[in-house]
Amino acid sequence: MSRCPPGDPRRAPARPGPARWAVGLLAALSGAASGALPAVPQPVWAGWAVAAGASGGQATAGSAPAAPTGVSSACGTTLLGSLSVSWTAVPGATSYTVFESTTSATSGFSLAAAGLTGTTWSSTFLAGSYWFYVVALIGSNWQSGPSTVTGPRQIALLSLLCS
Amino acid sequence: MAFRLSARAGRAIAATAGLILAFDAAYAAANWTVSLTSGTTGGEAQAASVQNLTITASASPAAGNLLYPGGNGDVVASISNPNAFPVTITALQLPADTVYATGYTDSALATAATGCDSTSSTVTWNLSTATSGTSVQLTTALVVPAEAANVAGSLVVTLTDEAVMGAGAPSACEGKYFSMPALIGVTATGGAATATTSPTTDTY
Repeated sequence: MSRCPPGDPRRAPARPGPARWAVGLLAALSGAASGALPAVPQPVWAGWAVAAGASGGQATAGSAPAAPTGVSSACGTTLLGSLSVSWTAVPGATSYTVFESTTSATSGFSLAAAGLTGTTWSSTFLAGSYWFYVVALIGSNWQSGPSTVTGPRQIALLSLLCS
Repeated sequence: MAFRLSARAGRAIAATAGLILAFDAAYAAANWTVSLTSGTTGGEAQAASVQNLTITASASPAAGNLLYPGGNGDVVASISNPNAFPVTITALQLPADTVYATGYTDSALATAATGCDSTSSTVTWNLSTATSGTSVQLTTALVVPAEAANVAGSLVVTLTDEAVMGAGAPSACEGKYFSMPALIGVTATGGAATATTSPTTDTY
C-alpha cells in the first residue's frame, strides 16, 4: 500500500498528544465494534503540584488617601458657644470625618461627625474648654490619616464667648 | 452467543488495557492536590504522561484594580505547563474563604507585613465559600503553551477583580501586596488539536 501524501484527505489524522493517546485508542476500539468512530474526548483532570507555600496569584491593596489640608476652626458668628471647622475639598473623597478633643492637640480625640460631604461642619453649645479638631477623609472605603490639628478655640464658661 | 477473539484482537485489547491502567495512574497522580516538589510526585507513571501545572504569583503586570475594604481587586498569576502539549483551563476550584491571603510589604512577596496575615487580612478569592473546592467557570478558556526546548510553557494572566477584601480589613493592609491562597485545582484539557491564543486578562 502506498503512503498518502500530506494533505491527502485519506491520510490518517495526526497522532494525538500523549494525554489523549490512551483515550483515543479506547475510543477507536469501541468505535470499531459499532462500525463508527466516535469523537475522541479530551482527558479532563483537576489539580496540580505546587511547591510548599505556593501562591494562587498576587493582589495589591491600595493606599489610604492623603489627609485633607487647609483645616481650620473658627468661632461661630451667629450663636454664642459655637464653632465651625472647615477644610479644602479633596478630589475623589467620598466623605469626611471630624474628630474633636478637649484634652490636648495630641490625645483625647473622639468622633464628632461622620459622613460629611461638604467642606464645613459646625458645633454648638460648647463651653468651658479648649477645643481641638482634626479631619479625615474616606476615599475608596479607606480612611485617610488625620489632618493637622487646628489651633485651639476656647469657649468661656459663663459668657460662651469664643476666642 | 459466544465469540472467540482472534489472537490479533486479543493483543490489541491487552495493549489497550495496559494503556488504560497507565492513564489511570497518571490521572490519579494528577489529582494529588499538593506536593512539595512541582510535578514530580507521581513517580515514573506521571513522568511519562500528564504532568501537573504550577501556579505562582506574578508582580508583573501590576494589578490595575487595587483592593480597598469592601472592594475587589485584580489577581495576577503565572501558570507554568511542563507538558509537551498545550493545556486549556476552563474552570478554577477555589480554596475555602476561611484562610486569608498573606500581606507583604514588597511586590516580591519576601517580607511579611505585620498585622496583615492569613488570619487577619480578610483578602480572599471572590465567590469562595467556607467549603473548599468551589468551582468557578472562566469567562474565556486559558491556553497555556506547551513545553518547548526543555522550557515549560508559561502564561501570565490577570484575573480581573477576582480578589476581594473584607470591609473590616485592618489598616495594616494598606498598600500591601498579597499572596492569594493556593487554588485547589483546575479543570483543564490537554493535547488540544488546534492551537489557540489565550487571553491575558480573564474573569469568572
